[in-house]
Amino acid sequence: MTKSRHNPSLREQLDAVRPGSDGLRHADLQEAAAAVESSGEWRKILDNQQQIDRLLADAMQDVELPEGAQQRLLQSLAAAGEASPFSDPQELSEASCPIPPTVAASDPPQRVSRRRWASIAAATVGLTACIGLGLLLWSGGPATLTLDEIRSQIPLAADGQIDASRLAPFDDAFLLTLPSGRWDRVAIGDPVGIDWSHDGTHDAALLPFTTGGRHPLSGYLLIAPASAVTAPPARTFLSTAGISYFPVDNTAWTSTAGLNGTAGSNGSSGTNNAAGVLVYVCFVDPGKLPALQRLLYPHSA
Amino acid sequence: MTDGERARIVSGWVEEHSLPLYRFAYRLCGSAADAEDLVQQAFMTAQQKVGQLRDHDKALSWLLTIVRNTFLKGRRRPGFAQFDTFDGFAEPAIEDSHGAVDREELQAALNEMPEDFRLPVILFYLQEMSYKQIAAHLEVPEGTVMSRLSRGKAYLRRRLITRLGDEAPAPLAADTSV
Repeated sequence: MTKSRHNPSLREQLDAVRPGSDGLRHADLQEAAAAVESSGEWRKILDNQQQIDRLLADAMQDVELPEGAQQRLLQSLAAAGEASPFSDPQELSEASCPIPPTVAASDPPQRVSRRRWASIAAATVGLTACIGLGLLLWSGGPATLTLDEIRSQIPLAADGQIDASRLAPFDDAFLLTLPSGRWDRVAIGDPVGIDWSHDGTHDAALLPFTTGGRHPLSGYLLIAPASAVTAPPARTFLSTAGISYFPVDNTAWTSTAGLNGTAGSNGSSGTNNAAGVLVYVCFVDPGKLPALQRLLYPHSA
Repeated sequence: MTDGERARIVSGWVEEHSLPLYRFAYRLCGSAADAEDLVQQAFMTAQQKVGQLRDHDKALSWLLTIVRNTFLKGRRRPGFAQFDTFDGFAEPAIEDSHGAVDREELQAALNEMPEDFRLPVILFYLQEMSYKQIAAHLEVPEGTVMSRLSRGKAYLRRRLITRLGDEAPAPLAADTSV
């Protein structure tokens, strides 16, 4: 513990005493102890101050954990565990250097800023897309895309926001089914389609949505059959643990269809969804995924 | 330590320490949504680093430190904070309090305080730490803690329990002397 040359005033010494404690016995507080001992006025000041301290402490404690918060925490930890880069103990022990707790705590993992992450992701996705497109054209091969490639298929406006107006209405190439969660709390617009295989039918649908309430947020839900996605995500629900930041904040998961009704204002009734497993990618305004997660899973989902 | 062991330990901490961590986070950032995100981030960091915590009896203190550091790291600190400590204003008496302090008013007052003052005050009232423990936790000199604690507490008293009709003095600059 560090000592300072600052010489605390009598008032500062009194404020350092915890209510109901024997704090006045500390050597640093001898001046305050003597004042309280010899003067009824200082005793009165200390008593008054400590009664107010109790009121403030009570008010400070008056915060309850939001409903379902523990469940959400456990879910995000479970999801983070699934995505952990340390899949075996040997790897973990090699990657982790033993350091004192205070050092560990004061130096949490470095996080790449969203802007930097977006530029890295954009460069990576661009390169990947070029290589992928080249291979596709060269081989006339598979129409499945990785999640990064799918993200790069989303049309963007000049300001970097998603611009769905450039896409045609969804052609009902497969049955659109909403994932689990309270999507009934969300207003969903008409779906548009993305044809990345260039075979004349849509490979994915993009559904605009908005939420109500005092702090509405808007976004897009991309739905694609898992069979059209290379390496569908292992996560099975919307989780803020797996956020990507390109082109805007988004998270992806895989879910069995038929959980929560049919999406689309026209009651889409496609026929080409034999696998019954869909990949969802939810895009929202920066920083809004946690709020959306709380809206959709108010009771821990 | 295997992934499963780490997950089991941290899940236990979620059950045990979520409430004090959330209270701390809420009082720090003043928003329920941000507080929950902060706690979530802290637990995820803990899950990654749990193998580095030698004494699991100190888990709460360790987690509080992670919350605090995560909070500070995510904020842009203002170059110069204006902080009206109401110095020179009469100390209110307990009789002026009407027996309670409004929790929202308290949060508004905390939000007005620079972090250097807010942190020791929250640790004092919420975590019931002594000034020595706060100094150790924040790794700042004890005298500095005493000074900031005193000014922060005086501010809360005058801001929340001041007699109606009293006039507050003009704002003062933040204390940068310690």
